[in-house]
Amino acid sequence: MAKVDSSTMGTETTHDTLPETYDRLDNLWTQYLQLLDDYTVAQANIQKHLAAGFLSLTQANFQSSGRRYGRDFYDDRALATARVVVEDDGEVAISSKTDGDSSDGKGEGKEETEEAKQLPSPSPTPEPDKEQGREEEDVDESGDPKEATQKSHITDPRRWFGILTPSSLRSAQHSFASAVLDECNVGKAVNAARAMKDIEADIRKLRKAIKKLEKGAVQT
Amino acid sequence: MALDKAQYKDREFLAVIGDEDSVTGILLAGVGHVTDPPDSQKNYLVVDQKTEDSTIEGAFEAFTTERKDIAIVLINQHIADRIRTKVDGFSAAFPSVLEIPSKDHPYDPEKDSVMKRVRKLFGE
Repeated sequence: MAKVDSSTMGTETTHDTLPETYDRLDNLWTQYLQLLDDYTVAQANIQKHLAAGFLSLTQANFQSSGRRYGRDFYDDRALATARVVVEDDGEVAISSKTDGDSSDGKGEGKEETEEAKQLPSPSPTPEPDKEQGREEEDVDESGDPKEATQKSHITDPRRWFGILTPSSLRSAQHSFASAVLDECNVGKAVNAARAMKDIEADIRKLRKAIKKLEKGAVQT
Repeated sequence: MALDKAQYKDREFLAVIGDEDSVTGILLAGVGHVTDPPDSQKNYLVVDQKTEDSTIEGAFEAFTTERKDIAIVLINQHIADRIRTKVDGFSAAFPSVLEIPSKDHPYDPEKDSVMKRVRKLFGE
């Protein structure tokens, strides 16, 4: 992505000659057009991923026979796994706390296979003592039961809709995650829009400076 | 460009204002966050036919002005159209506002506030 070069900013205009100012304005336009291209490409990528996500979500709703994957299932104790990091220069990066598992479809698949392996085969008579023991073990492993509860909240949002969700919902999640988390999508569009705003101000300043210089040249 | 660190140091969440499918999708990506009680605040608003414009404006205001933990606000473009004056008039460095398409309303660059700024700059 094109970065704003502070040396080309319009703050030094007073000492520049007219051709130099024109050059600096041209440089700013070059940067601006590059950023505009970044923004347009990022928006196109976002559209592509969201369209795929909407299609998969519609398929999931269609397959679920009357059940709609929507607001009725949102968790009121949700904790975000997608977080934004703002750099010192104002650039943003979006990352997922659970990169490698819940954010991409491959990890999810693995997790599910493991879960499937761990599931005990149904026994005709339940063994309450054994079950209880296992639960206690789980709490002991994580140490604090509060922490365990907290951890369970930072899980895959797909779990809000149940354990056995259709594969189309998983693919919807993958598409939406790509739209939000991939650096060439939302992050790139946001960074480009911010940088464009900065350059717009500089271009206006330079235009004013050029007008002044041109007036001065006509008078002499 | 150097920014005042106080403007962004606590900003780590995305927020979303959209129709049900858009919000569901974005939340599936792990964006959903509800702050601790007693004043549990959600970082999303589901907009439907019954939602008043004032409610959308209120949520936009809350995400952009009141809350200091939001870095990016995603808003469906057709919903941004309903509060266009507010969206176009928002010029603060943080949070960033990004218009996104919804299932029934594709992205239209003519309406996008960023592209409007571009056209204005070219037309000056």
